[in-house]
Amino acid sequence: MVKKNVKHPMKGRNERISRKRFLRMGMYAACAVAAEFIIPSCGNIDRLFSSPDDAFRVRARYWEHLSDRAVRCTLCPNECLIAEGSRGRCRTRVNRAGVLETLVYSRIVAVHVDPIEKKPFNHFLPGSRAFSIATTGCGLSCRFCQNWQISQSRPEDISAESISKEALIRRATESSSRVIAYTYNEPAVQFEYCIESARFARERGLRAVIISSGYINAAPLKELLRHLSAVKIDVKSFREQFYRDICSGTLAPVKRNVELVRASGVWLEIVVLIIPTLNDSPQEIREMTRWIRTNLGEHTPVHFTRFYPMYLLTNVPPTPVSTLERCREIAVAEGLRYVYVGNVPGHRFENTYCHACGSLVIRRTSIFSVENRLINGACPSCRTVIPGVWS
Amino acid sequence: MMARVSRFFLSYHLPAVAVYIGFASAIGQVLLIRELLTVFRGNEFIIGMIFTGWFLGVFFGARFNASAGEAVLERRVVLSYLLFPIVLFAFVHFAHLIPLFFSRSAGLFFPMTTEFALSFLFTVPVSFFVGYFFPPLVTLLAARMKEKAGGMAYLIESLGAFAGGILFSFLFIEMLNPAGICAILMGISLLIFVARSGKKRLLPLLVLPVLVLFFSEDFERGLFRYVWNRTQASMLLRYDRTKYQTILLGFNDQQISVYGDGVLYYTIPDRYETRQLFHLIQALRNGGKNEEIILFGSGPGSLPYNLLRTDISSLAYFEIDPKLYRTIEPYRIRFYRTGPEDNRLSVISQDLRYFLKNVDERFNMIICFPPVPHNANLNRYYTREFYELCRRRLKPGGIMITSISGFSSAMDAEQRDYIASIYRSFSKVFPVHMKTSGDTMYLIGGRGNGSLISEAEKIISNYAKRLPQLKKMPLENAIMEGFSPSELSGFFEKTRIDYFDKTVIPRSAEIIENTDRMPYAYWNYILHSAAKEHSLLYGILKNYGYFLTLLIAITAFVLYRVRVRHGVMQFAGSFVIYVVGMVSMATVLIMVMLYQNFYGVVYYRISLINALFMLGLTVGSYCANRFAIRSLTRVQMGMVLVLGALFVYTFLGIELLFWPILVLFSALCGTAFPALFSLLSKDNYQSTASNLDAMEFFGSIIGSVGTTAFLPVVGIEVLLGGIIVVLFASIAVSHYLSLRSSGR
Repeated sequence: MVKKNVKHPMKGRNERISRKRFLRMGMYAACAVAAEFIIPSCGNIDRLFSSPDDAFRVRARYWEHLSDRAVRCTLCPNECLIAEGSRGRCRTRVNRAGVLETLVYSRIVAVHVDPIEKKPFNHFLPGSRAFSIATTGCGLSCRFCQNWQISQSRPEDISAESISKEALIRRATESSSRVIAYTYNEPAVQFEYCIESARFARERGLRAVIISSGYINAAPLKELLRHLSAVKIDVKSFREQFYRDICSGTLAPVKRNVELVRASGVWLEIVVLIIPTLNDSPQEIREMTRWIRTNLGEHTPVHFTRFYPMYLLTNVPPTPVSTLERCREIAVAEGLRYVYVGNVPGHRFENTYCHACGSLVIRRTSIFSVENRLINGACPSCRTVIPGVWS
Repeated sequence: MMARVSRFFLSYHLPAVAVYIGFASAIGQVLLIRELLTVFRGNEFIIGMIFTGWFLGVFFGARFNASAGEAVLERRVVLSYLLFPIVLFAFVHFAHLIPLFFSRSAGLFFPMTTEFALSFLFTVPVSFFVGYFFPPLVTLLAARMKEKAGGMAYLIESLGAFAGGILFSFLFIEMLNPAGICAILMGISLLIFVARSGKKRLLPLLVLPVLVLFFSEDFERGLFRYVWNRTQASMLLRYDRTKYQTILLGFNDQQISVYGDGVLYYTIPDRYETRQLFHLIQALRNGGKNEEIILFGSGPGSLPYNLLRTDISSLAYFEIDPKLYRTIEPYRIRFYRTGPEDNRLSVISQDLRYFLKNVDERFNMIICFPPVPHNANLNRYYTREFYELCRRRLKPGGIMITSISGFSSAMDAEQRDYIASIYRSFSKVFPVHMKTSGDTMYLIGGRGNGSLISEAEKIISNYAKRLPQLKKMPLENAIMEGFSPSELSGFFEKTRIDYFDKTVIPRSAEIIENTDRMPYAYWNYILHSAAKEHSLLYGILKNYGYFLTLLIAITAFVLYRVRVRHGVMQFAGSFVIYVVGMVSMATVLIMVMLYQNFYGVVYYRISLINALFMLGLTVGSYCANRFAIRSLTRVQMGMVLVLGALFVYTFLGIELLFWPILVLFSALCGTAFPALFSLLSKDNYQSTASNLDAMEFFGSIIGSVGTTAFLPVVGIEVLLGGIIVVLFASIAVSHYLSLRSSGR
């Protein structure tokens, strides 16, 4: 009896305001309040669900038809299976009615003029300027990416400008740049634009370089290499597990690609970002540098660069300089001749020393202060030719 | 003797339990917040979620089987006070094991959604018992006290919470670690049980909490070391608990990393990081000798070391936590081979803002490198009020240098807005200013025309002339070796500064300015972090209209359930107590924020603010019982008036007003539960207690979530206005209730 009273204490009054009516009134009130806020925030809805500008769409290369209007992108090792209306992991290639399109053709979100040492290239036109451009997207998701704002975004998330290949060459020339660098994000995602503009640049006497993670399939890479003068590849680690856990990728294609670049004759430099405890074990560095010496040659420049807390990896301290020095020692002991310590302005191993006599041939105190002592690409002391592209 | 104690407890057992649960819950809440913050990011959003989880647990506990038979009531009470300290002990320490159970790469924080889910997971099971014991306790008390039982239980529990808050703030925090505190709570609960049951043979069990207390330091050290060495990018060198934070020093390859509450602060030595920054500071100095400099946020490594090797006359280094500086000092001396003997250096353990507000001295240079504004406390170093304070403390021609996180190549909309909001505040206070490029940008403001050379080339060429003089000073090798002034070009990359001018400056003209009362940059930083993680929360946070709708819909649903189950009177009472819970929580959070704005770091004071709030509740519930308050209309009008006083306080900041407002407001809140209980309970004590207690905490949940989410975007004044409007709505319902109860 008591329980009954508890459940229906105001039985008579329920006739005045029924449960249904109460619910309905509540719903109306909620809808009214919701409308108040939804209507002004429609702009935000647009931003959340917007589609990219059609002006940058072109038919993509390197993909194949599958059944039911699905496609497989074959540009990078992810080889995404893309259903109609969806995008690949790089966020820049979309399946539109069974045809793969790129959303970033000539869609440039970052334009800067950088010293070539910033890429870093230490054996490629030292002291020159690189007209550096980027779009959005990347096939990897490295948790420490320095340019995550663009590499981990969709094209429509960042304001961009359209730069035709003609405008690109004109602007590069106006800025006294000798080099066009496809950098900041993975250049492979703008493969179609990269190929066309790099060929166009070469025809007009400018050099094109890419700063890449090396995460691209062999066929497109070989095609791209025909138009490039230099390639810098980030080898993130020499462990598959690191690639899988920290970058959501795999190491094998990267190793294959650095060999391909070396075989193509295009100038190659390797960068390894050393992150404390994640990829800095002496054993890993030894294996990596031994592999580089064996497969790429002892003269391949290798940069061990310093990590700073970045993107999602913000709670790891910067790499101790002593760790970088130890990595360099291991690499030298393994027989590499040009091993650098990077991101440590003023450090003596940012300089280039002749592999034959040990003389200082290029002095760098930060990327903005370069003193090139080479004479026709040779050491001024012993006349040994230093490997690289010097003019 | 034992028999006398037993007799006493037979009479006062239930009040003693209420005092104990109040006492233990006040301590447990703060303990959980502090420990979870060593694993998660310490921003208000997470703190808000922890609070929410806590209240949700109480809500579930209070609602759990509200119509249980009398036979189980006492068992429920006993179970609650016996299990609470054990569950608290377990979850406080499980919190440290989170990185092991939910493994992720060293250096990564959990995604925000995971942090929220884990906050709930680790608080709900503990606070469940705080709600679980209350309705049965009230029912048992009602056998003697009838409709006054609810008010009495509320009063006694609040009194216990007040005692817990005070003891924690002034005693436990200095003397004991969480394991030790939990051991004391376990001991008390066992004593209560033995006294009540008279089972003296259980007394030897007291050895267990005594053992925990005795070995708590070793236990904690072992636990910290075990977890740290398996989940972090360094080996744990030492840890220290201070009243501000838990300090952890990690060691890796000749480098020490300093963490506070699990967040990386800085490393020593930091010679190469400092090199270019040191030269930038030197280049910006006006060339005069005997300059007085304030330095904040750089860490105690190379920057202060090398500045003291130049011709400055004084360096005031700020580190709010004195124990942090003392902990690092031996290592600093080892790395820099120098002692603290330089009498030009003063290490000031004060909040920089508080110091600047209360000092008359003026300085040539204020160098301020605060961590990113991922919480409202840090946001205080990016607001217009802070920049104004700095400007006032600069000598004519003086310079302020501060840092914000910049960009490498481009910015997304959230980062742009976050920077634009800060830039607007800075540029308004320092019309003469310049900025640098880079992943960390520096905003440099000068007091008066001519204090600053704004052309990069001129700065570099001027510095080149002064360099020979600098080379004579005994600076570190890494700072001076091969230095060329052209290195400074890295701070002034033209295309990046042009990008900033094109992107941020137009936006800063239209965006909300970052101020103390509207910490908009903090909010944008949270959004920026959510976007960075591709978090689902981004959509909700970005469109806070939906969020408000969601809160209203949940409230409507819960109130509807009350209406269906308990009828109109209970529904009306629930609405009133819901509003009181919501308003009280929102007001406490606003007051915490105001306190922080005026007096600096607040974390260690949260428990004191909580305690005084509980004191107010005690006084309020005492008055409600004593004077048999049955109509809340006047009380709520009083709350409106006090909120009006708080509104005035936000502008005037009269220190004397803060504590009276807090206690007075909470006293008014404290009258609500007893008054409504005596009005609504009739003979159904347990159900009413369950309903009112649950709805009060439900209101607290909404108040906590709502304030955390909306304060940064609408500001304190608008939020207070909103609270007052809601209060007025509840006054109408109170009026209806009093009419119905008097039979009209």
